[in-house]
This record gives sequence, structure tokens and C-alpha cells, in this order.
Amino acid sequence: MSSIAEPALEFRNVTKRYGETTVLEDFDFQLGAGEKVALIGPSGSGKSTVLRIAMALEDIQGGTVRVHGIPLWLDGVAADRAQTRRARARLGMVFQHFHLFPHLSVLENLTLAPRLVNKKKADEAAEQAIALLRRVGLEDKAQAWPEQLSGGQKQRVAIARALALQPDIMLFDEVTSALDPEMVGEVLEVLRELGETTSMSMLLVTHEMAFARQFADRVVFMDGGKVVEAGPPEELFGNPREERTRQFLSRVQPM
Amino acid sequence: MIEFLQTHLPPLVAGLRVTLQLTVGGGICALVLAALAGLARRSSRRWLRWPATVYVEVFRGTSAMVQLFWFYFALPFFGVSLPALVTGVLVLGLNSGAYGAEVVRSAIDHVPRGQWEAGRALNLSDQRILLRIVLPQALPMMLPPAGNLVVELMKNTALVSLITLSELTFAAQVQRAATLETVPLFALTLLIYFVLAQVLLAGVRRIEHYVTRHRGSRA
Amino acid sequence: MSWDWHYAWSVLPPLLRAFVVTLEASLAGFVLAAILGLVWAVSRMAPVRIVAGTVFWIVEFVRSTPLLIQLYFLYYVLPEYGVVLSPLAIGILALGLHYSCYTAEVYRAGIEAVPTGQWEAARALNLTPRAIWLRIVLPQALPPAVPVLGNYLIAIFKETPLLAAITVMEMLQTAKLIGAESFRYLEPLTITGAVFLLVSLLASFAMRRLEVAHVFHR
Repeated sequence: MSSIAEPALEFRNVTKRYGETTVLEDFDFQLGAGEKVALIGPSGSGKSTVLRIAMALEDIQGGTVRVHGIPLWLDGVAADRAQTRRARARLGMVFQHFHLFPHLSVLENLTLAPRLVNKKKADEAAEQAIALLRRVGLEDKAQAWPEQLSGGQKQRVAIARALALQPDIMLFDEVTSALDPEMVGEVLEVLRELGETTSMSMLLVTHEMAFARQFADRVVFMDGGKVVEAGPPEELFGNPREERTRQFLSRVQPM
Repeated sequence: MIEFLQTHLPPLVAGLRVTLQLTVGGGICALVLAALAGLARRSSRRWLRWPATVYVEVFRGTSAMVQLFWFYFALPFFGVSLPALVTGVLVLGLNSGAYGAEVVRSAIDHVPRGQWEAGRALNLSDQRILLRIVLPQALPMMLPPAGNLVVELMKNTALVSLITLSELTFAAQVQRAATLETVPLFALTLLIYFVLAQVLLAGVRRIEHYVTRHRGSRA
Repeated sequence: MSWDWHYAWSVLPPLLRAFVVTLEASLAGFVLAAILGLVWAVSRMAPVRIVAGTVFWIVEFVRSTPLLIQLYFLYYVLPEYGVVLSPLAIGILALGLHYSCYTAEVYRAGIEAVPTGQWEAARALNLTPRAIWLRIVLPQALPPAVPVLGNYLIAIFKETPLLAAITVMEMLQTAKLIGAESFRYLEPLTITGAVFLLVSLLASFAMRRLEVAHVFHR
């Protein structure tokens, strides 16, 4: 049913408010199937909110959101629970603060959802989990508790946990912002490997401009709840059209 | 000394048995009510949340002794006459359950919101998130306050002597009236209560130890 | 049998008069608990090991045994030693003593929250222990304790019906006597419960307001 033209994620006229403050206003955005997009912009510009809405972690006040054609919101009306879960099944999300489950071992963190949601058998789930841990370089930590890991290791486990449900789209919400500087590299390395070896669609909110530049097919600059400018990384970073983009870039990457 | 113990210990021990029945019975009642009302107070459904809130506020807001007297003396006017032991267990359970519900609710509220979000992002249903992710983290937080509640419940069993049930305090009163050996007798009774409280606290600490040993985070 | 409004109305005045006794006992008991608790908390930190240890166990003991039997103990034992007090006075004494062992914990938490640096700085200035407590530590430890103490005022209020056991004519005892006279317990006991509920709810509401105000003042 899904054609090549069908986007992985589609936001149309989305409005999001927290009480009095408007976070997104008439927001339009598409993530193509297999596309890797970096969302950049000042804090409070609504970047993370975009990811959270896609994962149905936030309500919206108006507009339409589709995940591979499945509506999460249609003109401001929410999908029912079954449909929400069908949409979520296509998505994986990695959070800034990891949110590993502290009462479960690393392996259990990875196997819980595949067993409960995808009804995988225990040994099958464990086998897959080990393979994913190997991929992020942590197979020796399978039996460890989350509290025994460094920040970078926690985030790599969180990435593996999201991959365990075999999503089509990965959402990365400032995944290196809570890390000590020396651990940023190991996490970005995992992202780069994923980007190079899979055809998953990826939406990445980040402050790492250098990484966004080499990783993304397209960079979207947001400010004040709107897309200000979007384009290939070379263009947006090298020759920004909008004054606001220029100002932002000069602040985050001083020449 | 030996003579004193020979006279007084058997009736006190008989009373202690009733005290233990009240503590255990009331404790089980309270546990069930605390879990149900604590979860119901966090529910998104109003018909669950509202009755739970009324229950918790009424039984925390009125005194345990008023509740005991009401159930014993006023309830018969509605045609319900319960034996003293049943009334005692019921009132102790209802009273401690209301406090326990707040312990359950606040422990669940203290599990970080990110845990719910991570569960949803993994497409787990809310019931499963509660059962597999949130409650296992909330349980260790509940135990220390639960220990205090158990001791409070045990102390409240003494109130049941006032509706003629011959538990430990009642037995001490009877012995005092018979022999007038007030000081040693009440001192012994207090000591029994004290030891009982320490045993209960040690029990809860064991459970705490067991629970924290079987999970990674002690934070 | 159903609720009789006429009868309920007629028992209200004596119940409310008895409520005054309930309030007196709560407030006096609370004042005693607030003062004694501070004494326990400070002496638990006494440099003399024996004093600190003894106080610790006294507090533990009183906290984990029923107030009712402590009440009987004072009621029957004090006269044997020539101390003759009214039942109400004994009730206040027992409430104050029992709850001082709870307030002691509140003060202790407040004292422990004062950073060690404050003690060290005070000692470095060569202040006497008395001055350190009165001028440095307690002024920092007491304000955060106030809202928590308020919760114990409510707790003491809810325990006053126990004084009925030593013949104090507080509200519950009055309700019971009225009920026994007329063979109708429902109305007096329900009114008593309602008054307790109302006062507790108002008090917890006021406490929350106080806590909020407290937070904003810091």
C-alpha cells in the first residue's frame, strides 16, 4: 500500500500550545521514507515537541499528523488507542535522559517490549538483544544494571532498546546533550553506523552542528515554532538564505 | 517476680493473641484497600477517582476512635450489627488503608515521567507500563512509610479494647482491677507492645532488603 | 430506623460545648509536644553518649507503644506518687508526651539539614555551644520544621477522643453518653465524625496554604 511518494512522517498545520504559550503554529513538515533529517534551532523553538508529537506523547490543538499514512491526528481529532499503537509500532525513540528502566538488567531492558508487544519468545528476544548490544559495542554488559553504566553506555543501550522493536523511523531527541563531552563521540559513532547501514528514516534533534552536517540528507532550521529554512546541509550551513538562520549559526559555530 | 509473671503473663498472652489477630487482619484489609484506592486516585476515570478520594479524605479526616464507635454503636441503626472483632479488623483496615492509599499514590507519582514516556515509545499499553515498569520502581519507595503505618495500626488495636474486645490492653486493665499492681503490670504491657513493634519493623526491613537486593537501582 | 433531624438538632449544643474541651486538649497537647520534642531532639545530639542513647530509646519506646495504655499508666500511676491532676490535665500530658516523640523527629530533620559548615564556622568563631545552638543552628533549623509540626497538630486533634477512656468529657465521650441516654447513637456519633472531618479538612487546607506561603518566603 505504501508508495514511494508516501512520506514516513507528515505534519500539516499542526498547532501545539502549553496553556498560554504556543509551541508550534501551523507547522508543516515531512520526513521522506529513508530520509535522514536533522532538526536544529534555538532551545524553545519546538524541535523536541515535533518528535514527541510524532510518538503521540503530546496532545495537539489542531492539524494533522500521519505516520506512514496512518493518521495520529486528523484535523485536530486524535486517533483511537488501537490506531495510535499501530502508528507507534513504526517508530522508535531515543531520549535525552535515556529513561532506561532501572529495575531491569540491560538485557531485560531490550527484551521487555519485544516479548510483550511483539509476542516474541524469550530466547528469540534475548538472541536479538545480544545481537543489538554487539552492534552498539556493549554485548559484555548484557547482565549489568543500568546504574552501573556510564552515560554514553546508557545511551547506546537506549538506542539498542528502541531498535529491538524494528521500527521504520527512528527519533533521536538531543541524545548527546546530557552526556559528558568525552562520551559524545561513542554515541554519535553508533548513529553514523546506523545511518550508513540501514534504510530507516531518521529524525534527529541535535546541537551537534558538525555531526548534523555530515549525517543528514536535509537540515531543517526551526525558530518560534515554525520552519524558517530547510535544505541540504552544505547549502544551509554554507550559504543560509535567512537572516535568523545566519544569526543562529554564527552563535553556535563561531568562525 | 516469678510469681508476678505466673499470675499475669497467661492472660496478657491471651490478649496478645487477639492483638495479633487484629493487627494481621487489619493489615491485610489495609493492604488491599491501599492498593485499590491508591491506584484509583490516579485513574483518569472519574467514577473511580472520586469514590477513592472521598474514602481517603473521610477516613484520614475523622479519628480512628470515632470511626470505631460509629461502626460499633451507630451502624446497628442501619440493621448491621458486627461482632467486636470484625468491627475492629474492618475499622483498623479502613483507617490504615486510607493512609496507605496516599503512600501508594505518592510513590507512583515519584516514578519519573520519563519512565512512562519510554514505555509508551516502546508501544507498551498503560496497564503494562504500570505493572512492569512503574510499580516495580514504586514498591521500594512504599516500604519505609508502610513500616510506620504497620506500627501505627498495631498501636491502634488498643482502641478496640474500648468496644469490649479483650485484647492486650483490655487484659491489662482486667488484671489491674483485680490486683492493683499497676506499675509493673502496665510496664510489662508496654514492653510487650514495644517488642511487637520492633518485630514488625524488622519484618518490613527484611522485605525492603529482599526487594532492593533483587533490583539494580537503589536510588 | 432513619436519621432524625429534630433529635440531631437537639444534641448539637452539648456536642459543641464538648468540642471546646477537644480543642483545649489539642492545643495544649500540641504546645507541650512542640516544646518537649525540641528538648528530645537537642539532647539526642548531646556529646554525652549515655544521654543521647537514653533519649533515643525513650523516644523509640513512647512512639511504638499505644497512647491509650500510656494514658492509663499516667492516670493510675501518678496518684500513687501523690501527683493529683484532673483527667483533662493528664490527657494533655499524655498527648504532649506521646507526640513530642514524633515532633522530635521533625526537629532532628531540621537540625540535620543545617550544613556542617555552619557548625564549623561557628566553632571557628569560638562561640559557646549554647550560642551555637541558639544563634546559629536553631534559627536555621526551626523555620522549615513549622509546616510539618502543623501536621502533628492535626494528628493530635484526631487523637483527643482517646481521652474519653479516662473520663474526660470531650466530644466523643459526650456523644456516647447522649446516645446511651436516649438509645440513639446514630445522630450524635455521626455529627461528631462530621465535625472532625470538617476541622481536619479545613486544617489541612490551611496547612497547604501555610506551606506555599513558607516556600515563597524563602
